[in-house]
Amino acid sequence: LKFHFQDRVVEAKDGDTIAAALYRSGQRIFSRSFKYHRPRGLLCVSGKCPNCLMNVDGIPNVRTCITPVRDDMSVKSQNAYPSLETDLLSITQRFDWLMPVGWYYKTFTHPAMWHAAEPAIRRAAGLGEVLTTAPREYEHAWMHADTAVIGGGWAGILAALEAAATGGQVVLVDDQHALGGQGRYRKEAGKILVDLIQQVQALPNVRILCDSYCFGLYEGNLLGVLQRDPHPGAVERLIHLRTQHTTVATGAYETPLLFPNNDLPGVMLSTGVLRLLHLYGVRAGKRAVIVGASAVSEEVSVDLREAGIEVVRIVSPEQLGAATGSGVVKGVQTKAGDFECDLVVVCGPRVPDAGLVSQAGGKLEWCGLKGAFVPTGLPDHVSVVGDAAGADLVAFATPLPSSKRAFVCLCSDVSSQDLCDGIAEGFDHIETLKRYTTATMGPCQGRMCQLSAIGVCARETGRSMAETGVTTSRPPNPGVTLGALAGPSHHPIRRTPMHYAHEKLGAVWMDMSDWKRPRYYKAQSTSVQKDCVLEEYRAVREGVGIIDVSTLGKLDLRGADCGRLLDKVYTHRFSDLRPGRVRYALMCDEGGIILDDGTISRLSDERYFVTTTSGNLDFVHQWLDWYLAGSGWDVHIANVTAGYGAMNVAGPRSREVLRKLTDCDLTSGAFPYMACREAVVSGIPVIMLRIGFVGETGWEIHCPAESSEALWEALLDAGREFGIRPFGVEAQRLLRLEKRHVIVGLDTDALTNPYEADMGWAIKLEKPEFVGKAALSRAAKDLSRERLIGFVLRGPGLPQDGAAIVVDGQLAGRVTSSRHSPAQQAAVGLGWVKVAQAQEGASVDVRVDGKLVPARVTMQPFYDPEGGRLRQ
Amino acid sequence: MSMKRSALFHLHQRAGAKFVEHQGWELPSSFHLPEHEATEVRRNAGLADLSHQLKFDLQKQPHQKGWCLGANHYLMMGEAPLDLPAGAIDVSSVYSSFRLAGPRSRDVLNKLSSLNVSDASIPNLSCAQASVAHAHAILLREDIRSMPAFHLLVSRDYGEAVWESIVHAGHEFHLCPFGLQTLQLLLH
Repeated sequence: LKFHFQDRVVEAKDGDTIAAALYRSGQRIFSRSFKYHRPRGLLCVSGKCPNCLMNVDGIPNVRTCITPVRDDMSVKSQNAYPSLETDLLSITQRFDWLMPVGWYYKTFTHPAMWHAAEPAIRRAAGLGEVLTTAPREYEHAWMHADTAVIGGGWAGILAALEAAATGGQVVLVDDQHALGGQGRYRKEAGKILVDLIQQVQALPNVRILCDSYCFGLYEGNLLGVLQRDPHPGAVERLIHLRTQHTTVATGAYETPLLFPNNDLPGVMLSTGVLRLLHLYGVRAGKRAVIVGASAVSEEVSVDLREAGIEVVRIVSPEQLGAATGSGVVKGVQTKAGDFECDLVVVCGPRVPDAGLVSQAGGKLEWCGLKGAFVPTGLPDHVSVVGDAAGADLVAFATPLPSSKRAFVCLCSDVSSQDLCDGIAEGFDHIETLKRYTTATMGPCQGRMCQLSAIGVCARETGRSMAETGVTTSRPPNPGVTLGALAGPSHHPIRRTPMHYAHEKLGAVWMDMSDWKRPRYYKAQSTSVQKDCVLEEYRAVREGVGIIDVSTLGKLDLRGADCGRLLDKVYTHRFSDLRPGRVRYALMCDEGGIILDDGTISRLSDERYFVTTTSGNLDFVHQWLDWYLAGSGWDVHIANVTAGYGAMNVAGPRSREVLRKLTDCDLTSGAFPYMACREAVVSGIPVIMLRIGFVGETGWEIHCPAESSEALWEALLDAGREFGIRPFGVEAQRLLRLEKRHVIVGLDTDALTNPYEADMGWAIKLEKPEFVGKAALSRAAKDLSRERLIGFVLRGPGLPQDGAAIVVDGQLAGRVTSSRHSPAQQAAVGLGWVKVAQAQEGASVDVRVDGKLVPARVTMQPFYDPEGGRLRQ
Repeated sequence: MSMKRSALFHLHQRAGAKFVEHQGWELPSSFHLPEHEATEVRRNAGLADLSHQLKFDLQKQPHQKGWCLGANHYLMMGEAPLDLPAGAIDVSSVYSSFRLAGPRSRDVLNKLSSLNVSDASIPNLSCAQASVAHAHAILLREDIRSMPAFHLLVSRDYGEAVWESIVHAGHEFHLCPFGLQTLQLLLH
């Protein structure tokens, strides 16, 4: 195994983490601190402190001490220039007197000052950079279990075995690479632990997730679990774990002691030293001084001596003066004299890892005997066991000297002196002290600093630890990458049945919500949108065109009372629609506002076929269900949108094309405008509607989706001799605009009633009752607000959607859609104006590219105002 | 008369499927060797496109086996002929219908849906509706000879996207697309 670190190649052994391999290769400085750029080395070796954060394969802030080495990975340091060993910005620590606690608040008293300083500060301080060059696969997964056990040490394994014995499903989560907790690096564990691990691994109803940490406990016992490297195809997997019961067995972690230069590389937690030694076979130093209370430090010293590390001296915390050295630790000063060493092993106080407990609504209460805040008041669905509950903790004296070089918070370089200064300035509550000094707010989220911060605060304010209390742990804790939260980059795409036919025809796609639709097709001669659209337009107006309208919403209604339901929710009358006829359908809400439009065809006495706009299908379906519910009417509604491919064959020669493929009589006498038939075209059973959104003779053909591609191809084949052209949404928009056909939601908004939009003809106020009747009856008599008008521009240019309509220099309205009309040889459009301007022939100005261009108002369609072409 | 195509036709074609005609539909008979596919499905998981199956939306409990999707809402599914009650609406074309089968099929679903698909939650011959790969799906559990298996119905327009998501999610479990011929091997 080999990987790249900065400019060199580092060899690693199987099972190594990045940090272990680097340490073995002689690397001592792993990062530079946030503020003073002080050198920092390994401390906890368990992913709890901020000291080993590096950029790994483009991902910033990776905890290298728990990240396994992958062959050929690229590891880089962060926040250090030119190198970790010599960082020019470490000069800032000489000027720490210029940067007292609360420096930001005291210095940047005017926004302009902050804006001036921000770029420099961003460059100097920070936590790495996000590189966009490293595409990564993240995954989401869901799990359901009766019991979740968080933490795979002694207590967790026992809890899992106990829960599994009742037969329920158990998930055991551990943030390290293997189960065992402290037992993995403490000798006394031995065979019993190995047996327990084997037992739990053998149980079929226990699922073990190693390399996974729980970052939050949410409502309904939902646990957020992040699994690293779940399989070669993904870097991280976010698991939504839903359980009946959660057992917190997260154990206790060791925290640093306070003394000057306690942050020097070579000053390590005893658990860190033991992990390096027993998990990776790396000796942390040659000559060690152990600092700690007697029992623990004796045990550690035996281990170190056995490994061949010379233990120079065991020092109790009270005796320790300071660590010395620059760059790395060189020795310690104690009351018993000075000692040279290259390793200071700190046996610090242990803190129950109880963040999940507070998130579950539990409390943390100070226990003097244990020297720790221990969980109480847990809800029924959460329990806590082992060291997380404070089981084996024993208090010992930990001095809290006030010094500018005794660092409480390693994440943001907050010293014990800074805390004292903050308290002296009045921030003497632990929560305000936290916010003022930023202690406990860094990447370690208070793990390394919370206990000493509370200790200093209690001493300075003369309050007890219990009175001082703890700050709150909020999820995510530990942090989670945004990529993992975002999940896989699978955006669902909706495709019509003719999707691949369009692709072959050179479609240029546009997204309409999840749908892919052809905007236009690249022509043989050109791929410029304007020219292609014009060719498609001409084909429809002069010959024949075909467009895929499968995205239309489609509902199949059966039953004796369909007409009653449609009469109730649509403004027109449908109970009297004769079988074989189609009617325009407009839907309004109780306030008379237009919700949706479409067509309704009566296929037989008890069967209606309803189309809706593409985006509103689900809403219309729910709306119909809502008014059907409890009515007792015999209506059965099925959403058949995806079941039918739909295509509109339109143009003066459309009949000739279709005639080649069907026996159905297509003459206007037998199949007039606004009629519908069930027919067979090219051997395929279809529903044909003679309607004309684009203003030409045409048929909208609804065809079973599995045969739509074949029908599309057959129609193109049959139409070849007539120059048939597939046309896209852009040409359709132009064609319909010339006919002044309104698009709901584009030309109408959340205040539009049909009378203002000139669609009063679609409302049957004489119906006894329908949704919106009261409001529409009033709206019919009161047209004082706005009107939808058409306009023809009398100058060059094309107004944008939303452009201002101006009369006598005053804002009078806005444009909703506009296109250059070949029929009018000018830009035409629809817009809203005050009622006074809504007169045939009135003059208005439209703002085009910042200039006012005169336009003529018209209430007529721009093309074929009599609609004769539709009926031919 | 042209053959009927499922929403996955072009995807199958790109995947090198061998096609067979079945009830007027052009469907994959297999992607590799049927025996090999059957072994993989039995060992891990497999996914087949059975979009040709007839589906009917009903308001009343049918005489034949029907899946209850909600209050007064039933689905009948199967191969022709089906004994249909009056008022059934043919929704065969509306859904792409997949067969997800194999011991790891639930692991695959757990990556695509928040639905609890354990034996306790969805035993054999029960059904549910949930979001699968961001699309609304109807899940019918119908095991194949004691091997966990599901019918997955999604709106046809989402068919290709959901199929691709399932195949992608199933990669780590060695999920294998299979065809009609392989299905016959699994069933008998």
